[in-house]
Amino acid sequence: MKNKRFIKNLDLTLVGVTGAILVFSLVMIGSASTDYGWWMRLGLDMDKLQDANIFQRLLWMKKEYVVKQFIWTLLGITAAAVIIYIPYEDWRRYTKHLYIANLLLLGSVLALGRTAMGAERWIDIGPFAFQPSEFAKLIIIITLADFLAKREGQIRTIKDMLPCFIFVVLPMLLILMQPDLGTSLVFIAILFGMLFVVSLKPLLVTGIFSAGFAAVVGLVWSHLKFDTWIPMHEYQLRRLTIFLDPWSDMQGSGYHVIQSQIAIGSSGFWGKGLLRGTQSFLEFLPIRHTDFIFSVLAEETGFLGALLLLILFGVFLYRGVRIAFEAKDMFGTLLAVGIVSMITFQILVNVGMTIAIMPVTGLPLPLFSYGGSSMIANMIAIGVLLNINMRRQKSIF
Amino acid sequence: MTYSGEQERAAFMKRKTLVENRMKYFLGAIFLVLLLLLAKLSFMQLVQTEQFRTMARNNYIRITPVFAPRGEIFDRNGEKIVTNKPVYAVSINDLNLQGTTYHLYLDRIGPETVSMADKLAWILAGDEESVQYFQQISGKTPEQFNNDVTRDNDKATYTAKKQAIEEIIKERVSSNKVNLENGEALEIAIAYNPSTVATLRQQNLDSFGIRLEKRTDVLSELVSMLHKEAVFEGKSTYEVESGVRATIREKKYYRPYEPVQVADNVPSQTVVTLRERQMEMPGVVVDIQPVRDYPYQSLLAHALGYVQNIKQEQYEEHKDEGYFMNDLYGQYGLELIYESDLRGEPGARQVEVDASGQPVRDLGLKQPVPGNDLVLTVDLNLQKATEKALADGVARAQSAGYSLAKASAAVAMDVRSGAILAMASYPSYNPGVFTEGLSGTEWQQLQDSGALLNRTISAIYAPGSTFKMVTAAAILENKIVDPTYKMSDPGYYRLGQGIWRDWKPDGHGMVDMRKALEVSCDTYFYRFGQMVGVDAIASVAQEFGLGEKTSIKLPGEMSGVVPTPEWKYELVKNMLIMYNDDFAKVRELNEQIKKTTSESRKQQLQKLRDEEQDKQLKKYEWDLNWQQFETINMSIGQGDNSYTIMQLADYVAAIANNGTLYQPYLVDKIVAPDGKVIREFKPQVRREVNISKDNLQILREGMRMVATSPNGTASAVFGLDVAAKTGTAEVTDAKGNKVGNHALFVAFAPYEKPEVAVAVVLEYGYAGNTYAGPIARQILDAYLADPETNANKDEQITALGNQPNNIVALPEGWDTQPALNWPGWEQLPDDSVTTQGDNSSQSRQVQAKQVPAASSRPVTSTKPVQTTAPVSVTQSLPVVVTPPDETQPPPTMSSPTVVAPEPTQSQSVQQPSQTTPAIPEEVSEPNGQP
Repeated sequence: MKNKRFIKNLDLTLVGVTGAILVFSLVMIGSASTDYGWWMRLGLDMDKLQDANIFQRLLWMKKEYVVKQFIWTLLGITAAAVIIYIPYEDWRRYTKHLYIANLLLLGSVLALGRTAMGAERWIDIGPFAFQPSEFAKLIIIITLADFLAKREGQIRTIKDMLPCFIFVVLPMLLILMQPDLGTSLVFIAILFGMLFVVSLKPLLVTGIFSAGFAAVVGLVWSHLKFDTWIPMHEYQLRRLTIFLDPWSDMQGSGYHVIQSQIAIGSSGFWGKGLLRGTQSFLEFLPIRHTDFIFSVLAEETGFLGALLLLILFGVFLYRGVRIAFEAKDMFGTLLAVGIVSMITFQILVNVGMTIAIMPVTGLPLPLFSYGGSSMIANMIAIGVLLNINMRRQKSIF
Repeated sequence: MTYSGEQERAAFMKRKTLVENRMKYFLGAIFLVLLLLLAKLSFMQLVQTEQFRTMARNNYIRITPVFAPRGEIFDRNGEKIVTNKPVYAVSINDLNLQGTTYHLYLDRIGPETVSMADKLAWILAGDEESVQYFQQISGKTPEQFNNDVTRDNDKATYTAKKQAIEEIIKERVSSNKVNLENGEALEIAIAYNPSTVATLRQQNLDSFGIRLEKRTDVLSELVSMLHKEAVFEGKSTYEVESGVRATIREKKYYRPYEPVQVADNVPSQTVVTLRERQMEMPGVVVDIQPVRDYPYQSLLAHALGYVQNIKQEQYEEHKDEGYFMNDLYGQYGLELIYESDLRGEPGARQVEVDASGQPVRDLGLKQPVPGNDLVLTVDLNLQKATEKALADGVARAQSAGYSLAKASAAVAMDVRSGAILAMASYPSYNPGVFTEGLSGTEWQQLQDSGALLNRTISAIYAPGSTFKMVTAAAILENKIVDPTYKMSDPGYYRLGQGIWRDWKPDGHGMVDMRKALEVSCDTYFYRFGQMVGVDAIASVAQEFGLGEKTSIKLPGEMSGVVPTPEWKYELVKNMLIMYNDDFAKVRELNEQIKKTTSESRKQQLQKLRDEEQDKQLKKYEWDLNWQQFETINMSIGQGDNSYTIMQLADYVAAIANNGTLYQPYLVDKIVAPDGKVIREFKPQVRREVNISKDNLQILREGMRMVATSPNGTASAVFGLDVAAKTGTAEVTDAKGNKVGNHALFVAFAPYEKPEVAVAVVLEYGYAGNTYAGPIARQILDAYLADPETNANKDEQITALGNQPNNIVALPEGWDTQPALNWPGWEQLPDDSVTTQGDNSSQSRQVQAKQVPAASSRPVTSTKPVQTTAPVSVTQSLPVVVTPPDETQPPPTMSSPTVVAPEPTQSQSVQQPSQTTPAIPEEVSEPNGQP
């Protein structure tokens, strides 16, 4: 009886859109991870590839990452299914534990973490590398939602908001120390998204956000202009600002952005076709199946593919907002808002990075980039959304 | 729990409206984010697509040019004069090569392993390639590695290398210890150099557990195969291999997609062998590059020009036309003028590469389009005969003791169109040397030899008596004397106190116009030339295109000079201002004018300068103004007259064809490789010469008598149906001393229906008839004997009938007979001017009259406006030398400064003359000029 109601209340649009994104993602991971070097080692013929039809090309893709990602997806679906079963209101009892566990986990990354690409983000568990910051985002959404829901209707002044800031800043600092600027910024996006909804003075929240943003821009600008102090190494700053003029360092820090832009720009409306993207297949594009997977997608499927993905994300986010709006309590609303904020922000930063309107920060594209932790965390987030949706107060409308 | 359901519901509703409000903004923000991304995406993918596509292509496509064969050049009968030959180059595409190598394997590990590493390192540190190998496996960049092992001296460097290698070997051994203990062999080093291998063999390596294993790969197989075919002259296979490997190492780093050349100039037989064994040697490519080939070596070299790698400035100018840095470019002659036609369109080989630059696949070859062919008006056989005639002529003059006679030139032109049938300049060169690459010294030698100078258009000569038709035409046109009027020639001409002698001291007896031409009577032309005046003579000369570029489409043509009073005035004036002491103040004022910026001050200074200049110029009026002796000199083609051989040929052609002056041309048509005619050149008329047909007929009759009647100056040479004129131009050095005579000769044939005009010069060839005449004869013989060139075969037969023996071969003993023994020519050359008076006055007189003849050397700028150039220095000499004794001395003559005695003269004459070497480069090697 109960199950039936749940299934009836399952947001099928959200599930469908998610499924479409996931399938799309698996194809693109296959194409992105197949490169010329691998192809040659198999002794395959380049000319044959040029003549092959789309099904042959799908068959000839490298399976390794696709299979792995598929397994992660299945694990994620399982996790989401589990999450759906537990009524989300019940989680509020464990938020304290969750918050502390989160801090411990992030602390342990700093202590035990494996370094890759200049940052300690992973913890090795057996053969798997586990990235706690992906889950930290989710945990902070849940704990912060609880924290804010308890203060519903009481947040008016900056003074009222201060505890919320401290609440978020603690785990954020730990992530910043990895250092992982991108994920810390996601925390800020989550915080302000949720504050905007719960606060009695949304204008004030917008104002603080704008002021903070202006302060950061001002700090960077005055550093570049007058060489004032900045809490950052010169090379870090360079990496963050290179997107403004990637051609100033073509072979160095600007390389990623330039190659990504070439990949996207050279595709045209229809794209070059799967496995036929010269930028990705011939390995001009770096970190293809993770951070720059959107560039591969845009290069091989063209404007059409990119537009399709953005529409899918648009529908997904719209459903998320709807769920937030229809949630039966403030906790549910805030959870959904947090998740939508997180995903929107990551899309903005990831896609923005590939088209040089955002700095290169190494945030994955949600549901699309290759990566187990991120996939599972995102699937859980979807589970949370579905959970909220199933337990909404329908009678009102 | 304390709230009632109603209250709860109200609170919920309140929150709902609040949330709904916020959600609208929230949704708006999300929408904005997606819109922002979409906007940038559509701009990049839909608007900037082409720009990014180009960038993507630049990323993954590497283009290596494939040269197009240049257009070939044919003579008028379709004989190939310039063609291309294939040069085969063998390259290797796969850069992951090891060559012939000896791999050293360690089979076991033991207590002796450490000493083994030490010993091996000592040996391998001396083998450059092995060191490179260790650098590669060390993971350091070549620069880093070199930095690490470089010390102050060689010995210390060697030790450092040895230590580095030892470290690497030890590390390899220790990190593979487990495998070794399990009985797996470990490769620890590679030796390349055969001598290193020999040393290693002596080292009893077995006791350390080291095994040497020989390996060969495609490269070493290729090299040993090519070595067997004797492709590498005197180089050992190891030398070749290590050279190629060094190139590979370098290219692998910077241009890994580019094949590395292993051998150049591979014989076609070897290419066949290579093709047969292609399967065994993957990655070996045979490239064909077309290279200029000249089947007749130096034939027509000056007109053809040559091809060389494009020069920096040419590249800068033409890079938009798709030239490459190492492209070929026509540097001279027709190759330069018709560069755009001959060049063709280069093809390209496109290679797809990956991010590391490794070739992915061949995207195919864009076939080059060969250049268009030129079909010339030149007749191969006549050209050959002409060049042989020049060489023979020089040899004859040399063997007769005229050691300065080293160079000559000739042009044969179709009088009916201006088409060049032959043009040659001796000495010549083989343009093929430029395709093979020329070293600096070789180039310098070629330059110094004077062989590069095209003496038909890039050198000017005083025409000597070949100019007499101009004077004759001027006399006739101005009706100075009836052509039949016979004057008595005493052997000299007197004007005032001056006396000008004929070349024949006794005179020629009774002489009319035709006879004057026939016997080249100087007296006749002195007299009537003086009467008709310089302006009339100059205007006829200009009418015939003398002193004016013929506009033949060849680079480096000179215009020459028709002397006129205005020209002389300008020239002398500029010389005076530049060098005369009286004009020091003028020079000073000129300097000031140059420096002054204020306009009013400038005008003031200019006025001052003009006043001073006029004042000083008045002193030199005699020098500045044209004097009658100059007209007299000019009327027999001496003085400042200076023309190119091409101009003389064109002028004679105009006389022959009854007054049409054609623009000489060399290219008949341009033909595409598929045989389609792209452009056809029609004869271009420069002008109809404004001389009456009757008078031209008189000139032709006179010229015919030169060649046929017993007294004609060239009758000994011809006796054919030919009309001709001899010429002898005195040459003086910078100081005005006579050096010798240039021999000139012009002719046309057949007389009745003229077809061909010929002009010949033999530098320092004594006299026109003696040495230049036979050259013209040889050329005309060849022309008339060649049925292909003679359109009118009947006439040819008539001509043959007249003098059958003379046509086929020269008279017996031609070569051995000294020039002076020729009947009637024991005396002075026809144009020599001698004057009355004692020795000293004579020497000065010679100077006065003949210094201008020094301009018979190749000199570029001769127009009055250009007289500030140092080139003109020698030509101004009449200014400062004493005027001839015979002429009426002008009043200023009494002034000591002008009646320059020897010391003053040397001061004012020699100083400018020393500047003569500054003549523009292209003409700076007047052969035989002291």
